[in-house]
Amino acid sequence: MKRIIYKVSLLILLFSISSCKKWLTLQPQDGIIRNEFWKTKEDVQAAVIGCYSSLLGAPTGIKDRALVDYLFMWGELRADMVSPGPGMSVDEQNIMIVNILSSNPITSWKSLYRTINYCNTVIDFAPDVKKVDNTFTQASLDAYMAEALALRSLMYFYVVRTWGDAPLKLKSTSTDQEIQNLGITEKATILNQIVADLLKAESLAAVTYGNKQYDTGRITKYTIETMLADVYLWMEKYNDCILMCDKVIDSKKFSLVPGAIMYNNVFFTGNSTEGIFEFQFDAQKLNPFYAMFAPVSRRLNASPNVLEAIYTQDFVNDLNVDRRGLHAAVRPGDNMIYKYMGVDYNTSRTPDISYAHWFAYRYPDVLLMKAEACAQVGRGQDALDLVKVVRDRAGALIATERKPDVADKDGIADYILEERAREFSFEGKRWYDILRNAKRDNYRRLDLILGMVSEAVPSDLQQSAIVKYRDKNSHYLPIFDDEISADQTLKQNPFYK
Amino acid sequence: MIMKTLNLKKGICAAIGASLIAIVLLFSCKREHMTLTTTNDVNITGFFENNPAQFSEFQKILEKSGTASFLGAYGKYTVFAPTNDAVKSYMQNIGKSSIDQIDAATLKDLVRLHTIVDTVSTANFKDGKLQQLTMFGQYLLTGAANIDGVTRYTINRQANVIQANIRTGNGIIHVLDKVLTPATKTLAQMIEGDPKYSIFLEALKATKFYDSLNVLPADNTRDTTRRFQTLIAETDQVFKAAGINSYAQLKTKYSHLGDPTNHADSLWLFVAYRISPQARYLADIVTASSHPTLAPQEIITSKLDGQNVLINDDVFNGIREPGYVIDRLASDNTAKNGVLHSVTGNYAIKVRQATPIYWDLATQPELMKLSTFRKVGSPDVSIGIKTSLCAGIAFGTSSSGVDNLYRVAPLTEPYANGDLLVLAFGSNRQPWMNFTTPMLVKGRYKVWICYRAGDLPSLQATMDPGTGQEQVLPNIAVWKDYLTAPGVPLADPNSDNLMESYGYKRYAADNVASNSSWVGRFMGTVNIQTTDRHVIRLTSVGGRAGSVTLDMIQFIPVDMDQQYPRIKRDGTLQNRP
Repeated sequence: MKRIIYKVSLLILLFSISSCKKWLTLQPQDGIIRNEFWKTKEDVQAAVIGCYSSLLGAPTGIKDRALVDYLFMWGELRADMVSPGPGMSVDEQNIMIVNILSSNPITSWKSLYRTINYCNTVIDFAPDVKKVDNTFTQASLDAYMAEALALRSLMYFYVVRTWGDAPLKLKSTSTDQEIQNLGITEKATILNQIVADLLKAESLAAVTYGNKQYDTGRITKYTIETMLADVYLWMEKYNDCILMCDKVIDSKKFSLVPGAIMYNNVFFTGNSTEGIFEFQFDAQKLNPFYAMFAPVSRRLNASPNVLEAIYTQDFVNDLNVDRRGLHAAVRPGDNMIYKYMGVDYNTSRTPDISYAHWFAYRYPDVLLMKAEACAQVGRGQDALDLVKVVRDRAGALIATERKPDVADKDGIADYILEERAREFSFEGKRWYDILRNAKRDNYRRLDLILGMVSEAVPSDLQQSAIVKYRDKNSHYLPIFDDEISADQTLKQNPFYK
Repeated sequence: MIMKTLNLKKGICAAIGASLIAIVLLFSCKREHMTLTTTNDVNITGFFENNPAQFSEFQKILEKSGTASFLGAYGKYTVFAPTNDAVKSYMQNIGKSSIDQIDAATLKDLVRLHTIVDTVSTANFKDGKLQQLTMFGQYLLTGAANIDGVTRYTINRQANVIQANIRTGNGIIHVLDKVLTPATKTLAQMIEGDPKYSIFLEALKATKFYDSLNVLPADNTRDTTRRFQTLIAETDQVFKAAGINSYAQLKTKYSHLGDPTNHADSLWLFVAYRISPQARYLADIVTASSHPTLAPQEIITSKLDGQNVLINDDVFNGIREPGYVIDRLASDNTAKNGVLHSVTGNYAIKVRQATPIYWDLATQPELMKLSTFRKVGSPDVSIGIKTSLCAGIAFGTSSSGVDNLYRVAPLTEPYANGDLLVLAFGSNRQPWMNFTTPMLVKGRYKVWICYRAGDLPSLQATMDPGTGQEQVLPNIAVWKDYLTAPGVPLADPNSDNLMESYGYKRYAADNVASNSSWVGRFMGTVNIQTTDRHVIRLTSVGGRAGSVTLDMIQFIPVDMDQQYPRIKRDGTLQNRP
């Protein structure tokens, strides 16, 4: 008996002296925790850069498509410029044919809210760093805050255009205790928040980071003004939109790249003089487009309509082409979406150099946004002049020229919409452009959507698709099932109930 | 004493019992909660039981009709469930105050009309019938309607889906705001009940089609393909627009034998041409390009132009024949034994003579849209390796990865229209390819394959493979056979006739007489039974693999000149000198 007690106490002794002293400490072995981060200005910079990196792809360990994959699908699938490739999934096809259910994973907004949360973290914690790091100046804090606010606003702008009413989260979630049910915020409230944030960001933002690559890859004052113009246009505040466009134009920081070198400069190399905000894919971080557009089992093709009806061709003179169409937006023959896939006229990219940027905003966008707003406030001639600038640069064909009367608001708006299809083909803008025009003045131009869908869906679904789009709520995606089951206070879009 | 012992024992028992309970209570307070079911999902019946506020009435119907049990059991079902309000308004319509007053058999039919033995979510809804029959034996018609800015799916144009795709353990529930009622009339009765079809009704009766359109599906044992039929009817107004004001005038115009019951009489054919076997809703009509009719060997063609459904809008011999618009609002009417459509123009069978088709295989709409189409010096264009990019061409399965191409030939090569298809046939490439022909008028044709000879795989042709009209053509196009294969000297002034007797001919007008490379090869004679677009299959024989250089397929009526016209490089025809 004594021996047993002796042995047991010996064992206990052994364990108590040999065990690690920190055995109750729960710090991760492979990461850094918040209390140890947020100490220096370098930490803030790293966090801001992290926000930008989240635009390029899902973080390691999270299985999700890249954000730009979603942006492309949300902006193009429901519009009329893409057609299914052999590798298209059923979920993607269902979006195209207006057969959208809330169980469709493409309706998930995870990727946007992930970036929103990163931005919130910066907004919440960066100001405190200034207290501990004396070398961190107010000016650089302001610049970082502007970037985070603007990027968050851009993400919310995608949210509000894609889902309409949605949760509005302005505080970061960094512990389990902070997880809360948010419910739904109305479109209009979200838009007002975006405007307020962007205006604040505009006052704080940097004008330049010293070189063109940073100025295009990071958010400057001009990026924010461009975003504001876009938001104001969506909100039908035309004079505010024109004001913002003029700020960007008058800065003289941007100019259109001449047509002859446009494809190489703007799309192949990127960060051109007309780039305002581009997602900076590079050799280290490739874009997801090669798999989407290039192989035999590609997911998406350009619709045959794009070359035929949107850019058209000159049957008399083969050399007279719209620089943005043939072998620029689309490769004829196999209808490959060439904007992200080409090196030059004849050579296409190989998978290892698939790092074409995502063009969130280019200078022509500013010109055409201003034109669109001008048309609505009775400045028809100004609008037509701006359209002409964009057309002349690219050598648009005479067959696509329209001559609306300067007083014909709808005629000019239609013309700009057509021109935007040519200028921003496959840049994830088409559906939002159509929706913005259709919903103007309380859905006065719903016919734009109905006309488009009657051509774009298979014949045995055409009639129901048209009737579905008569319901305004159907222009926004449903809240994905997973989100609803995670937060019971979310209210599903009534169209999808 | 005994009592005492018993009492004592009782006391002990009670004590032991009490302590046992105490022990159990003591230890049970920490009992783990265990889930004994694999899922909390209820089955369809369970869902109704859990939501009595919405479905107590439908639940009563299920119980009284004896169908509650199978909808609660394992299986795959789709139930269109009317809400309590819907059931109440249904009862009001039929003049009953409670479910108990309706007999069980009626209720059972009602439930069967609302049930499909399969899971059908709204993703399967189209502008027409659901592919699956209800248990009742009638198709349900889906669609969408917008009321005050809100769009909902509709079923049978009677009810709106107010909540869709509720998934339960054994199927899907769609909630309806009205009870569905089955179609009550046959096609014949529908025409009879609608005064605007009075001329057409008389024609139906005179041709005796009235009787066959009045047979219920279950009673139609004679011809099971005609249990459901599709009728495209013409209103009196349409007849009048065509100058026919009464049945008498219709009879005068069409009944050339004077006996509308005679199957050779044109009036009988006129009516037969408007009836197709199977229920074809407009969504079915626009998804196929042609549909058989009861007129022997006659089909109607269909297409969607914008939002218009057109009947017999055809391109024949290069000339477009405008079609007839279906009146969408007056169509898609479900009858007990089929579906009724209304057309806005008076059409009849077109009498056509068999005409030759000199068919350049590259005239596929997808290729003709190319900016490089027929432009000399253009690079080859892929038409697909595993899946064809042209709707009119279908492949077998290739394992080699060799591409099929559209090619524009250099000016020195006398291909018809200057272009050709380069198709990878043979062992590890395509075993066969199907080509959809242009419209062929019924009749007997000689089939010629026109190609440039070379050491390449040999092909055999089959007309309409896999259908009841399949015809395998006897000859084989041996690609390495030049025009010299039959042994006729090319310089022989009678060489054309001699070659034809061996099944060879010159077809390329721009080829010099001494060049033997461009070969027209006679494959055999086919009997085309319906005027329609048909399918011709080319199958590789002999195992050799390679990409054949194929130019044309010609269908020339047997009684016509087979040697001329020849086809020039610019596409024009060269007639017999």
